[in-house]
Amino acid sequence: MKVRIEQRLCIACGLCREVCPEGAVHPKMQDIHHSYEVLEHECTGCSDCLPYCPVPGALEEYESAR
Amino acid sequence: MQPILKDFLEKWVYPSGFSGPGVDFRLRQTERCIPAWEALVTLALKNAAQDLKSGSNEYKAARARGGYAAEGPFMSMKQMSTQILSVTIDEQPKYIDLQRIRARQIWDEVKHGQLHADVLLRGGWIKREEELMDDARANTQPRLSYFGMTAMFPHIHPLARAGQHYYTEAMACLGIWATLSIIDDPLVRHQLRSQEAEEMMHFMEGKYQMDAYALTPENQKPIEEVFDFLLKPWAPVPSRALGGSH
Repeated sequence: MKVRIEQRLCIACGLCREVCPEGAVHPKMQDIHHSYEVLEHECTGCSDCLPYCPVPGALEEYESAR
Repeated sequence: MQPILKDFLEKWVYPSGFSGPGVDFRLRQTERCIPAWEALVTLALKNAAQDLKSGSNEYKAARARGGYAAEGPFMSMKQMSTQILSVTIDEQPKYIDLQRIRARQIWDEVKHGQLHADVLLRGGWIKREEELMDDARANTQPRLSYFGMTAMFPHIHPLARAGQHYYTEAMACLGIWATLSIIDDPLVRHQLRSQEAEEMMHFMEGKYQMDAYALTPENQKPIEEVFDFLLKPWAPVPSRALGGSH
């Protein structure tokens, strides 16, 4: 399992970025809204970020193809 | 005059929705700022060309560390708290529009710090942002900051920040445009394009403060004193990330 951000719900608070032990959450490239993305190859699926997200559904687990 | 500066003046500095003593005051201060703005554009173009010639990617890390020192969480909170606290409780209704814009700027500056950290993370120079806490290059600025705690509080005035917004944030915009006119790199674009609109907003806040509020000699004096400071040769200059030297 890995985690990704549902951009329609995310409020870009950045808490997941703060707590991710792998530093896998990054500001999206060249995005003036400062939204975030989880880089799949850096996410280990530990799910440590999930309890910190204040918006239900903004962080979602998914089955990685790899 | 550098074309980047000429364009900035024509599009953003000279047009105004206001008229009156605030605008007149701002245009007088603008004349003082232009030589420094011109010098910054020239320097930013030169620095960008030198970085490209270096043949190494290290310049991206140096720019990001410098940017983090100028816009990272510590500097952002320190500077922004002083500007919020410059308005007393009694004066809050009078300056509530400025306070709202300034509160938003705290969010902007912290996000800008994250962008600089992200360049270092994506580029592989660090694994965690926390590593920057132990790196003096990412936490120190070589010159006195007027809006640091020590310098701001003795000169505190609700409108003093207008000088910083107008002079320094204009430099941020100009430095970004000059840098991006030379360096075409995904990480540098990420660092600069993502914050460009907000730097412009911060500049426009300075412009608005002067046009709308600096209407009397009493209100103009503390702003003029900030320009007096910022135009000294030993005053702060933009970070390397924004085209400056540090």
